[in-house]
Amino acid sequence: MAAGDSAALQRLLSRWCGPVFSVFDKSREPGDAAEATAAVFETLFRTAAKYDPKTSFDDRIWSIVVREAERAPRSSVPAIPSARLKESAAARAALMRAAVAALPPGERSAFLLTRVARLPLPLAAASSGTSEAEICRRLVRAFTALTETLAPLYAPRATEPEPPRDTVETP
Amino acid sequence: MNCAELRQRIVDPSSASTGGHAPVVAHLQECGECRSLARAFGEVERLFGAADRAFPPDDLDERIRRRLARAPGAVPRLLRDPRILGAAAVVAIAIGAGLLLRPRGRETTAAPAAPRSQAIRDAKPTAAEGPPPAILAIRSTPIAVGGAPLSDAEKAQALGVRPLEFVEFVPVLVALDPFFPETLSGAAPRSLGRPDSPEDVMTRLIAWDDAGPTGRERWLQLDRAFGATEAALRRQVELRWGVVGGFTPEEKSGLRRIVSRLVELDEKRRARVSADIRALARYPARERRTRWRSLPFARGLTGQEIASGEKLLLSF
Repeated sequence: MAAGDSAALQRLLSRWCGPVFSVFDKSREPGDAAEATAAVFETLFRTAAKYDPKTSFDDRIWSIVVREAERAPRSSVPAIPSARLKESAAARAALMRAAVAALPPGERSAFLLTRVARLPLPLAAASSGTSEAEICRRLVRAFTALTETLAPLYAPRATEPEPPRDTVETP
Repeated sequence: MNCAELRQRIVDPSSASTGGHAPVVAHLQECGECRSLARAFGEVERLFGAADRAFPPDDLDERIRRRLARAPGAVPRLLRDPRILGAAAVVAIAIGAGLLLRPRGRETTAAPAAPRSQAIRDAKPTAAEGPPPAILAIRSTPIAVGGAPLSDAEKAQALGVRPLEFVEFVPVLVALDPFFPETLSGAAPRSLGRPDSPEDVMTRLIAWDDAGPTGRERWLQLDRAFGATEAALRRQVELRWGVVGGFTPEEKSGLRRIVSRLVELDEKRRARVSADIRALARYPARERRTRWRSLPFARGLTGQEIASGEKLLLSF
């Protein structure tokens, strides 16, 4: 790619455009998500000469995605009337995007990498330049915040649920 | 297992395959708070798991390719040649002049740009002529910014040209014609005049020095090309800079991208889009904003492009 091989660029785009875009799409409007995706590929291209082929390419591209995902400042979550949320899928999607965008940068990227890109914890940690334990701590904080902001979407039960019997539901 | 350990365990996506549920179950049976939290975490997980898969826009590949083509490392060597750059600038401004001076409301006729290259060739460059003695008197001491001291002649040249950011932005200002009122009035922005404060002088000389020989040659070519255009066009472009010059770099970048989107359209569609944008001037500011965002052209823009166009439209 660094040498201007257009076939290599095409393969790269075919393989990675979708996964990278889907990560940004969960925290930004589609237009901004496309822009962020393009920025990732631009960075990848600009720094191609420095890439060591012996290192993992997954790690390389996801670390650029992390930087781009964390660059956006935290935004606030808009108040959307419950009636609107009930009738409009677009409103529900907007609330989910806003909830993720409102997370602090490190928690946001940890959530996006593990829950949207579905990266295993070790790869998410390596791409974020931190430890697996720290990623877990960030995820706990992210999930805790999301349970509050997204409560209108899953209508938590008013009563305390029964304790599990023989199986445990883990996310 | 305590509450913190349990919570870290249940957010680990691989925890299901690692086994050892007994301590988790035991803790959940004892702790109502963790039980409730685990259920809520599961609900959040399900929300994102059930969300529709996002597909990138059809033109994303193409947009990335264009962006890569503009990346600094991808500039073809040919385009680094100052002579080629200068010639390109002259052509761009000549075409821009044709577009700007074309009567409004007749876009659909798609009149070709009037050839002005002869006039431009014949016109003598004016911007770099005549040293500015007062400023040189202030800066009579040798100025060396990261290299050999600039001579008086070089200082005169550096201080006589228009700002680089402006001359580079001229084609964008011309192409954004539909966003501006037909004529602007007022005084040309001060930023386009000769630097007059010691700080401005120093800033200009540093920029000149930083540009390097190739950059300086290109700067001069752009400045000469602009100086050689008709006075009426020059004045309108300068007044437009008075509106846009204060925009942030991101907003200016958004405007550049709007222009590249306009340029990509075929002539007929560009004329239609231009007419739509011009029609927005009839509406009060608040309505203009809504109508701009609902234009089919704007719906294909990024958030930054929409915001930049909106700011420009609401500047009048």
